Formats: sequence, structure tokens, C-alpha cells
Amino acid sequence: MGGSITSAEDTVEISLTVDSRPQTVTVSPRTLLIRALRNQMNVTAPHIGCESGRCGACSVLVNGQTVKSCMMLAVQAEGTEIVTAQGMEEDTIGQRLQSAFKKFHALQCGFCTPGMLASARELLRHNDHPTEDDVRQALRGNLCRCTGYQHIIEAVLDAASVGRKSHEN
Amino acid sequence: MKTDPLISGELKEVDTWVGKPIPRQEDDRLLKGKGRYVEDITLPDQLFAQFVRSPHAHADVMDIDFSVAKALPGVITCISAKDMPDIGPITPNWILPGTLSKGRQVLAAERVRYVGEPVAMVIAKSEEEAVDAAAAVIVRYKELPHVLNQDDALSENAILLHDDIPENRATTFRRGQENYDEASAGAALKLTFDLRNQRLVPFPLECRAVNADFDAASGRMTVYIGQQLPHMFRRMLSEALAFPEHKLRVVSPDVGGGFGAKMHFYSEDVAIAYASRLLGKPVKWLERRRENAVATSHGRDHITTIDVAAETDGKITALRVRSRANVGAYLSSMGVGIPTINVALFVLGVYDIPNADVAVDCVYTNTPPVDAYRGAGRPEAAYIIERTIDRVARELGLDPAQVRQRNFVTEDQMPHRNIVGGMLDVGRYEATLSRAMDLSDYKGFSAQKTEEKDALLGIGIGNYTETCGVGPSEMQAMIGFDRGGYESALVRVQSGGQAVVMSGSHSHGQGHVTVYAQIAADALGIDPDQIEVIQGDTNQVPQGIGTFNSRSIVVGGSAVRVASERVAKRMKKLAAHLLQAEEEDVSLQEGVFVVSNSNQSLSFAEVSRAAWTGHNVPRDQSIGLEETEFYHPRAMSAPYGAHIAKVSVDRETGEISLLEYLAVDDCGTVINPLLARGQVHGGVVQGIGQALFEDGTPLEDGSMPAEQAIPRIDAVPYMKTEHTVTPSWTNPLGAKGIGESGAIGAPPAIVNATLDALWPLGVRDLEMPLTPERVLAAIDNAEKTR
Repeated sequence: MGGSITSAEDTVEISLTVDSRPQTVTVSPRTLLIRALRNQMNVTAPHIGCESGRCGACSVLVNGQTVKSCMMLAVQAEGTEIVTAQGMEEDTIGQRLQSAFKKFHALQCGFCTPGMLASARELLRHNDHPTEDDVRQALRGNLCRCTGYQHIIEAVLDAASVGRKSHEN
Repeated sequence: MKTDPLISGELKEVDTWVGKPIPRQEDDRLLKGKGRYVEDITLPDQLFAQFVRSPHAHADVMDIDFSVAKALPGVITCISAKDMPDIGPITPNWILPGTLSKGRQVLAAERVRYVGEPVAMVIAKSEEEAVDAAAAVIVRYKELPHVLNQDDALSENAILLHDDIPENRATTFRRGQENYDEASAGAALKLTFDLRNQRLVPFPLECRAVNADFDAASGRMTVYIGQQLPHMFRRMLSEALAFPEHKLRVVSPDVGGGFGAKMHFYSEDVAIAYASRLLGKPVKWLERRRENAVATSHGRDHITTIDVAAETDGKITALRVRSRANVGAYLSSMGVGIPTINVALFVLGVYDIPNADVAVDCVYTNTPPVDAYRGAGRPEAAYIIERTIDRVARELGLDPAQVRQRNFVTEDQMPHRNIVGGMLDVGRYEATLSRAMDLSDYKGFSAQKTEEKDALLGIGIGNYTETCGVGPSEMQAMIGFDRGGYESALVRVQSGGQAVVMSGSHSHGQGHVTVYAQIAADALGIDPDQIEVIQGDTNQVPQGIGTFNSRSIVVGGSAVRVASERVAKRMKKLAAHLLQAEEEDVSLQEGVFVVSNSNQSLSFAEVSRAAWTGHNVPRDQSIGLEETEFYHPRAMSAPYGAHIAKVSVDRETGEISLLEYLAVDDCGTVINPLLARGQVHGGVVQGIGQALFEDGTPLEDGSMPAEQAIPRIDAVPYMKTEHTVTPSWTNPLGAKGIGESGAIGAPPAIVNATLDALWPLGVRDLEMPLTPERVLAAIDNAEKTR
């Protein structure tokens, strides 16, 4: 059980922006982005659920695109701008999603939630009028074992609708 | 997507906090990425552990060589069973009388009995170093033949898992009368068939995690662990390590899902605490996903043979159930209780069946231990009886709904103790099923089915019940269940007028903080946002039992209610004294104690402050405003519901489309309809997972499949939910559980719907999960034999 990870003596210094804060950390070439975020930058919003890209609990936005941070090496994040659920309060789409998730009870244990929010935010940035099917397609890389998903779909659709109404005004 | 109203069916708009669909207090923190799970807790001088696990299903451990591992950078120590001679196997928490019990080894001493069994533990300065070093531990095994299936393990020439346990049989549990042959003689219909309720992997998104911190100077240890039963865990760990319980503190912070799997007591828990005590430093272990599939207890795994006899009108006259339950290589905490009590007592469901004979064999195999997983025995029981009812109806050419109606226990029979010992407190089964049939247009769909014959449409009912809210303690003693049947609540109104509620139950996602605040708010007369609910810390919360068996609101919520009422009563008495008025003239109105026919008043906060200053508290009243209740129920409640699934089957691909899913549940008083719906949705989707996708059956070599087919967002249908409300008399809230219902109702509803679609083609049985391969094979076989 558990494969060997090749030891690497060399370390690399990387600089990036996480939730609007500049960060410079020294990582080993094998360090996954999720581990650098959690263990070295104290950014604990993204979670480790599977380390194989299946569950999406580690999803963050890298330069605006959803990335499963367990599928990316920290060194690949050099120079990028990363947003997690911790930094989502600062943008309107993120806020709308957070309040809709609460209103519709779209989270239970909360472990998958930061990843869900990242995927949903990417969807709403590109599509302000998503259909139910659009939401299902956008979030199909994020597993939730608690909610049964229906409240999540309702929340994302509601956040989109709130966004459209605010544009109309 | 349309959003159904939360207040519908028999739910009413209320002017109390109980019954209101308010959003959760818990959410703000979690939505901002500020949840605090065990993995987020890293302490000064933190060490990390990694386990070396058996790659074999059955083998003798010949030799463990740590020499290479110990030389690697960052390694502190390596530990095997030889290094901890004072630590015995774990005692299961529920041992039915007469059981031949074998608990988990903390680290395997001489023999491993399932793939993934921990053999050694490596402690290092970083997680990466621990992983590297564990991979460098060399273990020499001598492989032995293994047995994975319970029927194989019971067969005559089966290898034995434990030398002193004949036939690999932990126990055989019997209920009812052994009279099937006489009772079924002359019946119009007699059937015999097999059912399988497959093994499942619980799969909480957060795997297990433990961080044990022993402080040599004080002799105290704090263990951070995602645990559904913090106080029970403290006692079990204290007993396993012979560590003084009063110096042990268990903190269960945010828990990333549990579904039963995080209430059990595991080898790793003991090993990590042992290592911390040995080294005097905090030791942390983070289970990873592949490890979770073997290291965390599984659920279900029953093979059942059913004999049933019925009259031509569908009335069932006799039932015989023979179930073989796979308990795995060792008994996990409740390993022998779940498949026996929780199946046999509930296998008659909501039906009045005059003759029943039930026996369950619990069988050791070379597989990871099986224990409670959402539903915990009740899904197996409901699947058995709901499939049976449908089979009887179809063989007789009757409507399955009518056959259910024909067999229901009726309202005038309540409370009803059935002949296998199960107890139903209240139930209006006819009303709930009728409501579900109306909402799903049951009759209209049957007509549509006849019109669109080629579409292979099907409709199916799951009319489950699930006794829950476990207690009383005396009953638990009788069945060898070494836990109390009570729950604690401490309610304190602070001097500022806000309240603290502490409960021994513990949320792993449900929303206890919100619903307990609602319950206390009504009793105290303040808003829920003035109430802080604290759980999951044994140094703060009075001795409790924990969250399982859908018992939190029923037992824990009742404790909150009783303690809050006592505080409110004391507060009113004190207010009367301070206002120099008669108690009956004093009332609390919008946060102010007023005296009738007088303009005197004191605010809630003023009375609270006076209670704690003690400056003017009569000597016959206690200082402060604090009450502790250990609520101890006299009986359990039996929530129930009627779930209806509609499916279509693709003849070409074998794929099943879930067209609609309807759940009408009766959990008595609904404290928060929004959260109740969340519980139903989550449970139903786990039930959909079992019916259509998931299979935790090990591969031939005993290893677990690399991936579990957990339902994704595009695999679930729209779920419509409603409630009938039949309050239970077993507790002051009139509540019954709701957490497990979905997982219990969904599998039979979906399988019955699929068989409804395929019955005209000659398909008589299908095994879960209903994969396209299985569906196609069943249709092909049926066509060949026609």
C-alpha cells in the first residue's frame, strides 16, 4: 500500500498570488499545489479528498480557470494568480454564490464546498444564464456525498439569476 | 429548475422557531473556507504517521525489517506489534450475547486477514518522509488461501479465519417462530428467491484523520479526531490504552461527513495515541483515499434467501428469512449488532405478517470489517421486505401498491410490537402511501406505461420504516450494546442574556447547531442567533453518547428542550422575585419580563445578569441559570415513508434513466424543513448510488477496486420531497429521525421500478448495482428462456 515518492534534494522558490496576497515559498519539485497551499501558505480552504483528480475538493481558480490543485505541481503555479473560497468574498460572483449556497442549504459537512464554489464561479463568469444542465456539466468534476446535489444546483441557478437582476438595475 | 415549496403536505406555517426553514448558522464559516477539520490542525513539533498495510488477504507475517526505513531522513521511529506488547486487540462496542468475538488487531502480530490490515507504523517529521519510509519497510509474508464471500466461508471445507472459531461463524441470531412449513401449507402462492445487498464503501469526502497530543509534563492527552461520538471515543481509547479517562480530552472539530463510518473505533486511533504517548509529541495521521477504501469500515454485504407465502389477494401469511452477513475479518465496533438486531427486528417493515421466522448468520471472511453505514441494517431489512412485497404482487398479477395496503399495520394497531420483536410507535401508512401515489400520478403513469410499451417504463415503491433514536440504556444492556441510550444537554443563559447550549451528540454535516438553537429558542423565548451551540469537545460538553441511528434530534434535541424549559422556569421564578410579583402574573413578552396589571418590567438580560451576580437570588433558588439534562427515552420511534421512483430502461444499452424520484417521509415533528429536505436528498442519492452504481465487493485477490462509483451531479434526478406529520409519543418533541430514510427507501424503490419495466420481458430478478451489463444480461437471459 502507498507507493514510494522519489526523494528530491533540490528545492525551488516560487512566487504567486493567493487570494490577493503575494506569496513566495520554497517547494520540492514533487510538491503538489494543494500541499503547498495548505501546508506552506496556510490556505486551508481547498481540501484533500482523493489526490487523484476525482473528487474536486481541492479545486481552486488558477488565472480564472478551475484547477484541481492535487493535479498540479506547485512549481507549475509560478507567477499565477490563485483564488480560493477564502478570497471569494472579494468578488461579486463569489459573494452571490456564497449567499445562495447558504439560502438553499447547498452544503452540509462543508468539505467539498470550497471546490464547488470554485467550479461554480468559473461557470458564472462565462455564462450568466446557465441552464440546469450547464450547472450539472460544470460541476460534474466535484463530488459531494452529503447534499444529493439538488440544493447546489438551485443555489447556482439562483446566484446567476441574482446577478442578472443586478445588471438590469 | 423549479423549486418546490418547503412548507407543503402536512407541514404548516408556524410562529415558533421549531418548524421554520431557516438557513444554517454553520454556513458562513464553511463558505468562506474557514472550516476547521482535523487536517487543518498542525501543532508545534508535529510528527506524522504512515501505516504499512498488508497487500495480502490472508498471510502469516514472517518478518518485518525496519533497517532501511529507519535510516531514511526525518524518520523518528518504526513500530510493529512486537513494540507494543501491552496493547491487545480492540474490543467491539456491540457484542450480541453468544457471539464469538474477534476485534481488530491494532497492528497485526502474526497473521494478516485482509488486504489493508495495518502491520506497522512509521513516524517521521513530515508526511512525505513518513510515506517514503513506510514504502521502505520490508515485510516478508507467507501467503495463505483466503475466502471473501460469506457463503463460501460457511461451506464445509472453508479455511478458517480464526482457529478457535468453527465455521467462521461469529453468531447466528434468530427471531420469530420456526413454523414456516406449517404456516405456509395450503397457501395460494409460495415463492423462494435470493437477494443480495452488496457491500458499500461509505466514502465521506474527508477521510479519517487523527492528531494525538500527549503532554508528558501534565500527563494529559488531547486527541483531535473527526468522530461522531466524542465521549464514547474517549472511553474506548482510555480503555484500549489503559490511559486515565479524566486526563484525556477528545476534540472533534468540523467533520467532513461520516455516515456512520466515523463513529467506529479503529486500529489507527489506538496506534496514533500510543505513538504520541511514547514519543511525548503530537502525532498526526491523515488517511488517504486509497487507504480509506480498506481502512474504514464498510457497510451492508448480506446474502438473503426468502420464502414467502401469500393468499390470492396478496395477504402475506408467512415469511422465512435466512440471511448471511459478511462481517469481515474482525468485528468492527457494531459489527455483529447491525446485521442482526437492525435487520431481523425490522424485516417485517410496516406490514402485519402473522408468521415469521428470521435467522441471520454473521460470518468472518478475509475482507475489511463491515459495520454501520447510513441506514445500518434497516436498508437491508427494507430491501428484503419491499422486494418481497413486489414479487408477491407481480406473481399474483396484482398492483404492488394494493398489496402493500392489504398488508399494512393499521393505525388502530398502534403501538405495534411485531412477532420478531420490532416496535412501531405510530404510523399512518395508508395516508402516506396515498399521498405519494397522488403526487407521483401513480395511476396516470401506469396508463402511460401501457400506451408506450416499447419505452420500457417502470414505477416502483419503497415503503420503508427504520426504528431510530436509540435508547433506553437497559435495552442496550440486554443486547450487548456497550453504550448508553441517553443524550446530554447543558443549557446556560449567560449574564448578557445570550445562551449556550452544549450537546453530547455531534454534527458531521447535518446542522445540529441550527436546529438545537431553534429548539432552545422556543423554550427560552430568545432568537436562535442569540444561542451558541457547542459540541465535539469532551472538556466542555457534559458526558454524552453521540450521533448515530438518527438519534440526535430525537434524543439529543429532547435533552435540549427539557434543559431549556428548566432554565426558562427558573428564570421566570427569579424574575418574579426581582419584580416582587407572583410567578403566575409574570410573563416573557418580546424579551421583557412583564407583570400583568402592572407597569413593572425587567429585560431578559437584566434577569440573566441578576442570576449570575447572585446579589439578590433567594437562598432556595440556585445561583446562575444553568441546567443539565441527561434525556433518557423509554422507547424508540419508527419514522417511515413512501418513496416512488420512475425509470425508463434503454433496451439497447441497458442503461437506466431515473425519470423522477419522490419521497414522502414521516419523521413526526419537522424542526427545520430546509435541513430535513437536505437530509432526504443526501440519503436518497446514497441510495441511488447503491441501487445503480456502487459496489464495494473486493476483487478476487481481496483488494478493493481502485475507484468507487460515487454518484456525480449529472447522475441524479430531480427529487421531490414532502412530509406527512405523525408525531411520536416517545419524546417531548414528537420527533422521529430523518437522516437515514433516503438511503433506506431509495434502493427498493429503484429496483422495484426497474423490475416493473422489465417484468413483461420475463426478467424476474436483478442484483444491485443495476449496471447496464447486468440489465442487458438479464433481458437477454429472459428472452432466451421464454
